[in-house]
Amino acid sequence: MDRKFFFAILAGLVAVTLIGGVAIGPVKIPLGESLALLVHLKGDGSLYGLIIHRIRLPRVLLGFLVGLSLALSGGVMQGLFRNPLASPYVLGIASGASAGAAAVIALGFRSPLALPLGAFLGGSLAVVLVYRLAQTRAGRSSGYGLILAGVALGAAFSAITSLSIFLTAGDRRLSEILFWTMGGLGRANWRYLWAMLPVALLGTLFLQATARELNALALGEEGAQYLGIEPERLKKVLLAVTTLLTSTAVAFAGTIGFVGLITPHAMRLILGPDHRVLLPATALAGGVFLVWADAAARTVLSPAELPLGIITALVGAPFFLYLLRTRLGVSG
Amino acid sequence: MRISIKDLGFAYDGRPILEGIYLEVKEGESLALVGPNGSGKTTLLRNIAGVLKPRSGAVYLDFKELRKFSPRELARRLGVVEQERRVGFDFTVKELVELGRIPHLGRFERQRERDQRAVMKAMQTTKISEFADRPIGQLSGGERQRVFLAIALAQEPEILLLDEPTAHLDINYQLELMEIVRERVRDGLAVVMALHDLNLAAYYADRMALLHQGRIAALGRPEEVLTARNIRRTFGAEVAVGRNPLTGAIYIELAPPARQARQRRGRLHIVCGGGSGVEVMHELASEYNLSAGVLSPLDSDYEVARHLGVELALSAPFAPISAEAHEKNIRMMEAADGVILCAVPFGPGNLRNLEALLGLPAKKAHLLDPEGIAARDYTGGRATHLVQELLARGAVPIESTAELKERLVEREDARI
Repeated sequence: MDRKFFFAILAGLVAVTLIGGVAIGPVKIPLGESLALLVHLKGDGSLYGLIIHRIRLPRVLLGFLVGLSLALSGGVMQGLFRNPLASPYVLGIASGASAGAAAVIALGFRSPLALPLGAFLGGSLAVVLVYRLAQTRAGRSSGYGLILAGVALGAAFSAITSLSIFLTAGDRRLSEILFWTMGGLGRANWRYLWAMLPVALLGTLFLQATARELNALALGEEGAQYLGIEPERLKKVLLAVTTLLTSTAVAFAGTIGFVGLITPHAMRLILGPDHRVLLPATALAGGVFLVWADAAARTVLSPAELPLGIITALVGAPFFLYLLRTRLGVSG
Repeated sequence: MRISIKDLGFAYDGRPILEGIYLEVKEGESLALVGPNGSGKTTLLRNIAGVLKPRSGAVYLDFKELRKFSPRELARRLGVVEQERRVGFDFTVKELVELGRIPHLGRFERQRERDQRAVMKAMQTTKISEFADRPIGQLSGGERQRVFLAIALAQEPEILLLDEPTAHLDINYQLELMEIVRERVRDGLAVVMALHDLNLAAYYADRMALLHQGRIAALGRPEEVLTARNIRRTFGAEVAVGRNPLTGAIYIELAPPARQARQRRGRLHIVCGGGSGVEVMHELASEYNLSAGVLSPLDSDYEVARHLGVELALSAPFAPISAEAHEKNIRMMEAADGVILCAVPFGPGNLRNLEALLGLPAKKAHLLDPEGIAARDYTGGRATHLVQELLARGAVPIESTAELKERLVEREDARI
């Protein structure tokens, strides 16, 4: 597909998504009024204005950034490991972040930033551990080693989460942990958004700048080395940045699966593997996908709200299986 | 850019792999690293590429030590092509060749016209422009390997290192790739290539380094390095060294341990040339003592004769047969129990070989395909006349090599 055309469509989709996400919700607000209120930056003090500005706008924007961060991280991880099945969660980031958040809740810390901080620390710890464990004597890290260590360590972290759930049984904190492990944007507010924005923005710019080197990794680490790239350093930097992006996203929205796996995969089918175009497309598409998934989560069982992770898994898993059967030639 | 290697040693896990390597490769020169598996060819190449660090000694590029170059600086001067590698995703050819520009571009820099030109040129020289937009997965092995060469060329290097670039390639693709490399050498690149195919190396390299157990066992022009003795010493194989009749390059053929010397049935002399004697010599060599002549060292029959240990009367190429060779030829004919005239094309240069037959008892001469002589006669009818004369005197006309063998056996039986 023509790339310019595709990006034009994607840009239009982003605009429609942001407006649509704000206009849709359990409280029916006519589209015209939504638009008028959006233009009014501070709102007019009306109930609708309050809903749009205090609740929906930060939620939609945060959702967009979370989707963007997860999808982009997934795209980078897949390139890094030369494996289309890699995702931001394979290295145990998600389970580490979950364990961190669950521990914070179970331990009864009540400060509003304690939860994101716990998640972030848990996620980072997981990646550092996985990286060290996967290192060979020669000081290199193998893709397989990283993924296997990630899986094993992920199980250990899940145990911590389960333990937190077990210890808080019958408690108000239990539903908090559960909701968090299933993911959702229910806590979105402007403060979260302002914390997320610089991370997402800088992370995106930085990752975009490494697109060419990521392409070179397709030749293998040695092939990349012959092009003047230091693969081990590149790997470390990319892991650090994607961990930052992912655990920030997880910190504010819980663990939301499949966005980081499916989005880059789908974009690669349309645009090919060139990360120079694949990464920006993946970032935008991930944002769009998550905003619509959240719109569905808010409205399907309205006024109850479904955990976002359920929606993404319900949409993502069949899509993934479809890809698996068509692309990998699995028959049966 | 000149590569100098001084007293290089390399060890892996304490086990020495390379020791005391001294090498020099100039601009516009190609050096082939040859040697048996495990002799250290690839390790040496990777030391030159900078991905392995020597334990002792050093590699210099234009007298600056290799490790003083940053990885990017190095990648602007040195391109590497290895055995076919797997590409992680289905990139298009052009996207892959563009990777070669990475060492020339800053992280936030976009490709400029200069980069586009380098990419286009690399694709043209490697003849892959027409596949530019095709995914790599759709190309054949030979085409893919040309893409990897194009990546290296897009780096605009002064040095090209090739590690078994033709392994797993069909022979036509091997030659195609090596021809492209040779062109780059003419353009002034310094090329070092590890090759296991000695003949390919002999043909395409200006010089060769024969490695054996991590040391240089021989260094020099192909004809100096590829001697039967050197190859026996390093590969432990018996080979016959000759020259490829088409290219003049040193050519090596396996010479399996001589078959059990059987009772020889007698002595035969063969008049051949231009490949006409190949089949006959092969068929008869194991049963008879053979001699042949007069041949020149550029004749394809010469290679075969040498290989089979046939005694020869030799004369310089592109010149009339020398008197000395002619006499030796006649002596060998006289000593033989039979003389076989193969389907040789005759011209003024070798007509004496035919004339020599006239001095023999006619029955001793066996003429292969005598009716075809007119088509092989470039002497204005003299050769044809001589053949008819021989037949008239009682020489034996023969249709095929099989018939020849039968006749020879019959003759023997008659004699007994």
